Amino acid sequence: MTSDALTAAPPQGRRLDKRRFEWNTSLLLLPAGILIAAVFVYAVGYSFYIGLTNLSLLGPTAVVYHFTGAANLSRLVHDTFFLHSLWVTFLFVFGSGVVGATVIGLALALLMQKALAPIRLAAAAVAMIAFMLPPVTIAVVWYAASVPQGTFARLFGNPNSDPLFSAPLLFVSLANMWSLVGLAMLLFVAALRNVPSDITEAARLERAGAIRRFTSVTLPLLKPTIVTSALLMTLLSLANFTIVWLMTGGGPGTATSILPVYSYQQGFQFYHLAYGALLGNVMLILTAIFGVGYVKMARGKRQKGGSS
Amino acid sequence: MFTKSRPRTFRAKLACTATAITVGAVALAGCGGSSAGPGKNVLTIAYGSTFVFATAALAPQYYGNIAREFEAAHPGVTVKLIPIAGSPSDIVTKLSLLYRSPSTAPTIAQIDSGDVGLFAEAGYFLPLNSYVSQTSWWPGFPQVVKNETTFGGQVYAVNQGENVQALAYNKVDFAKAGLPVPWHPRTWQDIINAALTIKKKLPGVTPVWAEGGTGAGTVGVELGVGNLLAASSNPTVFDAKTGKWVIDSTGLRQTFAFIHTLAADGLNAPVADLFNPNAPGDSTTYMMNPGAAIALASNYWGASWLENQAPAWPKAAQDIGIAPLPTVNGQGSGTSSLITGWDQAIYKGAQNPSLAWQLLDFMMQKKNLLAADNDGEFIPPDTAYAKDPLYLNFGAPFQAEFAALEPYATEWPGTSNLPIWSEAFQQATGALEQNPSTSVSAAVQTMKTYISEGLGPSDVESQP
Repeated sequence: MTSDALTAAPPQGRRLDKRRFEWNTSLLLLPAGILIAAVFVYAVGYSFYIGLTNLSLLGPTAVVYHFTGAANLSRLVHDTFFLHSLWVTFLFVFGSGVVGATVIGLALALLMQKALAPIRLAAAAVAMIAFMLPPVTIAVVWYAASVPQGTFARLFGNPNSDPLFSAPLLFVSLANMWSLVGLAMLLFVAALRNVPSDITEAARLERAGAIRRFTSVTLPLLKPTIVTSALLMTLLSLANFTIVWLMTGGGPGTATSILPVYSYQQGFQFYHLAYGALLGNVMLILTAIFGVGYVKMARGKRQKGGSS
Repeated sequence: MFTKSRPRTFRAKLACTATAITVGAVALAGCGGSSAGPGKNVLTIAYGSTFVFATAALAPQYYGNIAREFEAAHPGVTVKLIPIAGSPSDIVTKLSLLYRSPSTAPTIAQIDSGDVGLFAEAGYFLPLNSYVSQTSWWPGFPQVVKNETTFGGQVYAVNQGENVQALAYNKVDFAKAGLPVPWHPRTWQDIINAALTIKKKLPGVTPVWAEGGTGAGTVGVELGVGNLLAASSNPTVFDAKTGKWVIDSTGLRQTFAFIHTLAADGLNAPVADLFNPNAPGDSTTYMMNPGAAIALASNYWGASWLENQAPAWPKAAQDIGIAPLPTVNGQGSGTSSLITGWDQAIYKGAQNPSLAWQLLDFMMQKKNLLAADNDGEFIPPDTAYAKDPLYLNFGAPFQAEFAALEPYATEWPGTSNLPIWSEAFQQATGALEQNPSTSVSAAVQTMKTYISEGLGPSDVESQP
C-alpha cells in the first residue's frame, strides 16, 4: 500500500508524464507514419468515398461510376434488413464473444488453477488448438456436428433432427465461442497468476468464503483483463465472417446475416459494391466506438483502483 | 533516457535510412500493377476449374490440351491458363475483379450465361457479331441459346454447353409402390400424387428431391425450383415492357403452393441437404444414396452416374427413368425447363482480338466442343452435335432424353439485379421448404419486401 502511495504522488519539478513529444523523433516515426497513411488512412478514406458512389461490381456502373452524395446513406437508414443485421450482429458478438467466450474462459481458468500441472498443460493445449485452427476447419467441424446425423442430433436423441437449421444463430455463436474460449482462458490464467496470494490469504483469515473471495478480491483485480478480453472477443467476433458464411451462408433466410455477411452479399452477390463498402464502413465505425469505449473503461478502472 | 547521450547525427541518419527504405518500398509496391497487358502474342483463358466440369481433374486437362494444340498450330503464340476454383458465384466474383485492371483481364473467359449481360453492360466484352456470322457453327445454335448471350442485338459470348432440367424417377421404387413405369406426369398434381403414394407405400424412401434455399446462389435456383416457375402459368421474372421485376403473380403463387405442399406433407428431402451450398453438385448422388424416388434433376446427372462419378452407379441406366417436367396444369406445350449454360467471351481490351477469336473458334470446333460438353456434362449448343454418337454414347440413355428438351426451354433475364430477385425467390422458397407453417402469402410478402427494399418500390410490379 505504501509503495502505491509513493508512486501515485505527483513528482516535483518537470512532469515526466506530460509533454514528452520531441519534434526530432518525428523523423523516426516517419516510416511508420507513411505505412499507416498508405495502408490504413488512404484505404479507409477511399472506402468512405466508394461508400458514397454508385460503383457496382458488374453492370453499367462497374467502370464508369460517380459520386451520389447521401443516396446510399438514405438507403441505409431505410433498410430494414440492415437494422435486422445490426441486431443479429449484436446478438452474435455480445452473446458468443463478450459474454460466452469471456465468462467460460474465466471459468476454465479458475478451474485450471486447482488442477495438477500436467492436466493444466493438456487443457491449455486443447483450448489453444481450438483457437489456432483455421476458421474453415472450425466451420466444417461445427457444420458436421450440427446437421442431421451429426453429433448434436445424436446427443439430443433424435438423429434426424436438424439443430443447425432449427437454431442457426445459436450454433454459429457456439462455434465462434468455441474458437475464442482458448484465448480468453489464457488471458485469465495469466491474470490469475498475478492476483497476490497475500490478499486472498488475508481474506481467508477474515473468514471470507470462496464466493466472497472471488467476488470481492479476485474479480475486482481481474477487471482490466475482463475488459481487455471483452474488447478482443468483440473485435474477433465482429470480423468472423468465415464461420458464419461457411456454416449457414447467412441463412436460412436472414437468420444469421451478421453485418460482414450482409456487406459481402450486397457487394459480391448483388454486385452493389458501393453499398457493401458503406456497410463495411459502418462496421469500422462500430469497431472504433467499441474500441474507444473499452479503452476508456479500462483506463477508468485503473485510475479508480490506483487512487483508492 | 540514455538516448539523449547519443549523437544527434546517428539518429538523423537512422531516420533518413528508414524513411528512404519505406518510401522506396511503397513506391515499388505502387509500380507493381502498372504494366499494360500480357503482350500481343500472349492469350489468357480464365475458366472454372472445379465447379464447371464434372471433376476437378478434367478442366485443367481440357484447357491444357487446347493451349498446347493452339500453340503448336500458331508458333510464337503463348496461351496462359487462369484456373478459378469454387462455386459459380466465386467464379463470377474472381472474374469481375480480374477485369478491373487491363493487366489482369483474361483474353478469354468462361462465364455462366446468367451473368454475360452484366459483364457486357460493364463494357468488358467484345461484341462478336462480325466474327460469329462467318462461322459454320453459329447458324446451328437454336434461337434460345443465341438469346442467352445476345443483348441489344450484340452477341457478347458464345455458348459452350447447356443444362436443362427434367424429373428423374426411380423405376424400382415406382414398381414397388404400384406406380406406372414408364411414368408420364401431365400436371404438378400428378407429381404430388405419385410422391404421396411413395410416402405411404415405401416409408424409408425420400419421395422428392427439389432443391431450394439461398445456399447455392442464382445458379442453384436455376437448376432447382426456378424450373417450377418456368412451368407455371405465368413464368415472367422481369417485365421487359415496363422494365420492372415481378414480385407477385399467379405463377409465383402456383410455385410457392407446390413447394408448400411438398413441405406440409413431408415429401421433400431434409433442408440440411437441400440448402447445402454444394447441393447442385452433391445432388447427383442423392438418388443413389440415401435415395430419392423423384428428383428435379439436371442433364448432367446421367453422365455423372455413368461416366464421371466415383463410385459410379451403372444400375442407373436401368433403374432411373426421365420424365419431362410437366407444366402446372398441362398447358402450352405440356413441358418446360429453364436453360442455363457456360459461355466463352473475349475481353474488349484484348490486344489481338483476331488471334483471340481464332482461339475461341478453335474451342468451338466439333472435336473440342464435344470434349468440353462431355467433360462438363453439358448438352452441346449446336443441335446437330447433340445427335453425334460422341455425345449420345457418353452417359446413354440419358443424354438423348435431355437433349430433346432443349427446344422447350426458356432462359431467365441476364440483366442487372437478377441476383436480388433470385435471392428473394430463394428466401421465399427456402422458408416454405424449411417451415411447413409458412403460408403462400407469407412467401409472396418475402418477395415484395426484399425486392422493394433492394431495388426501390418503383422497380417492382405485381402481375395477374
